[in-house]
Amino acid sequence: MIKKLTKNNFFILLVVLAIVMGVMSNLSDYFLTPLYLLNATRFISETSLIGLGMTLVILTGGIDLSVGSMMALSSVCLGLFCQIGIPSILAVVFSLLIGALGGMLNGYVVCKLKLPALIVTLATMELFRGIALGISGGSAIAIPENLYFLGQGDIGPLPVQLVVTTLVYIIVAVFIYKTNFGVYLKSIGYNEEVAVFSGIRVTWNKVKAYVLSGFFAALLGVLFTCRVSSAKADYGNNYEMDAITIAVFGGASLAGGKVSFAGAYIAAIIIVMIRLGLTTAAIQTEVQSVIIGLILILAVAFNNFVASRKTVEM
Amino acid sequence: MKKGLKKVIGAGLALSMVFSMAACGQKSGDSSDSASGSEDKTKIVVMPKVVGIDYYNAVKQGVDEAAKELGDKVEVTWQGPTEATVDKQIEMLETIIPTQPDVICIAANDPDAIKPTLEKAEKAGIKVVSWDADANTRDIFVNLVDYTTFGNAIIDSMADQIGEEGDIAIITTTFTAVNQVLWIDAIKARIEEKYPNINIVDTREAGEDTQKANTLASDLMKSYSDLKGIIALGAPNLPGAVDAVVAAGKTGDVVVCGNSTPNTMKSYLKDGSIRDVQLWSAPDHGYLTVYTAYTLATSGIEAGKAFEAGKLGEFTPEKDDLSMNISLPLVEFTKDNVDDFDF
Repeated sequence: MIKKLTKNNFFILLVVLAIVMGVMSNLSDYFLTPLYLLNATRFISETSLIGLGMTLVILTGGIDLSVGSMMALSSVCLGLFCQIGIPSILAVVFSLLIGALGGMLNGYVVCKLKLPALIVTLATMELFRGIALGISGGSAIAIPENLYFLGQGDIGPLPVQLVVTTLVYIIVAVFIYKTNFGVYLKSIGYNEEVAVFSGIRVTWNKVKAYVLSGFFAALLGVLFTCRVSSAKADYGNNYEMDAITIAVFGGASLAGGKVSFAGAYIAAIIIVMIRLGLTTAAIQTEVQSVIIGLILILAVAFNNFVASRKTVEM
Repeated sequence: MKKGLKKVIGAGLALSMVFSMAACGQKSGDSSDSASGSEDKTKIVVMPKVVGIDYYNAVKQGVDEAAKELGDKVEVTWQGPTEATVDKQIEMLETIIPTQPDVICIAANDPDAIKPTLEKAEKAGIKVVSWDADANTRDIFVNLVDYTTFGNAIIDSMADQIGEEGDIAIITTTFTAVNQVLWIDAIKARIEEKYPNINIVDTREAGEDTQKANTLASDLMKSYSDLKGIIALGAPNLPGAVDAVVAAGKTGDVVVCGNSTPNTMKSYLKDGSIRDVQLWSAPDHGYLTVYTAYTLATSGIEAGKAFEAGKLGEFTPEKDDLSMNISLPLVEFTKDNVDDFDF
């Protein structure tokens, strides 16, 4: 039983989470209070959302570096749409559509021009950020108060972000595990040529993954903007790194074909909890970076070790 | 694939586990809180725009000094993001607010975006001090040197060195930067009022670029053969202007004044290619911020009523649109005192 469990990446993540929670609650008295943790779920939900999109793209063997910039672009668009008098709800919908469109651009360029996703999304990362800075002039844009609910409100006792992200996760999980979408993405990730010859619509499915990634980034942009009450072009800097970290920590292989959505979610909780916990315990930010880096290397190395043992024994 | 869906449900369960732990944890948290008895200590959090750069490290020296002087009366923590963005500051503040510090001192990366978070802090009974860069919600702003004082000091030094008459030129960073505009306004007003024989013949933009300032200064000396002085504003621009004058062999004939940091200007001050450099003391800014926060939390601060800030003496807050503010004193670096500063 124990031998079996240690081979299970998901179980290991749960153990790491338990250890992190234990250590953090020792570092600060405030850590394990309901108020603190409920507030923390806002950050967890936001971070796991961007990790979810990245996980989908990594499953196809691609990568999406433009998510942080897309988040900023959707934030700025939301601000500007509201400023020119578009009703709040429509402004949110349009901002999300821009995310989907940006994702579609990524997907089609990657598939049709047969360019590496790393380069394409590196380019759109600059492109989206540039547009965001250009149309906003770099200054903050206030959003109408009726939007505050999306970022600062609660549904029952739960923060809005938690409810939204949970719903998104459930919908994606159903599509991945109950329809063929998951199998298609996985086959593309394992071996694109084989997928083509198996009659899978590779471009169609890959573009869908990028569209979802862009959409989730835009959704994060909207939620985040509503939480901080203003839109700005420098939001989401380096969030693509957070997203990749979460996907890989959660058990994804950057070669494609292997990811874990549940793992990514737990990974998001772990990373956010470490960061928040260390901040609350007044540990210097520089030290935090070192600690998070070390934990990640250990975790990924351990994942790899487990994976290699599995193959040998099989 | 079916297994995967189960895992997603498992992840949900893990989250609820986190919450049940929270429920148990609260009791133990409460008891240790009352036992520790840290009630009489004033808890102050000081947040710079970014950590790990020379300038804010220098500010931190002053923060530490004030914390040491106040000793047992305060618990000061220095926390800031590793990138100078407002979203990182917001995330940090959101986690700091539940720990109920008495005062949060913030150098905001964006005055508007930080506002709702600071309002949340004030609602939780936390006092807010903005310093270095203002925020649109605060109890008091600890400003850098007052713009007029600063502009006056620079033109006074220039007038003194060129004998209160002659042509001078200004090199600025950009024509739109708020501090530059107000400094130049102050310089012009002072000339009109006190030095009728000084003429500003040209004003040029160099950005924050030592090389560009250098080229501009050389060009200015060629264009205006009677040029008596150059005012170079912006920390990277001053050394560029001084280099140009030295290279042209005009040290003493063309006087250079302006603002920059002591470490940048140390060698120029010592070899006499510039007499004095205006700025403020970065450590004093940190020191004053901590004393202001401490006074605010303990005895309160009112506009127009002076309060004591340790070795820096008395400060009288002035009322402004939002609440009130105080300004740092000007510091003039010369070859005699420049070694006392390290930033």
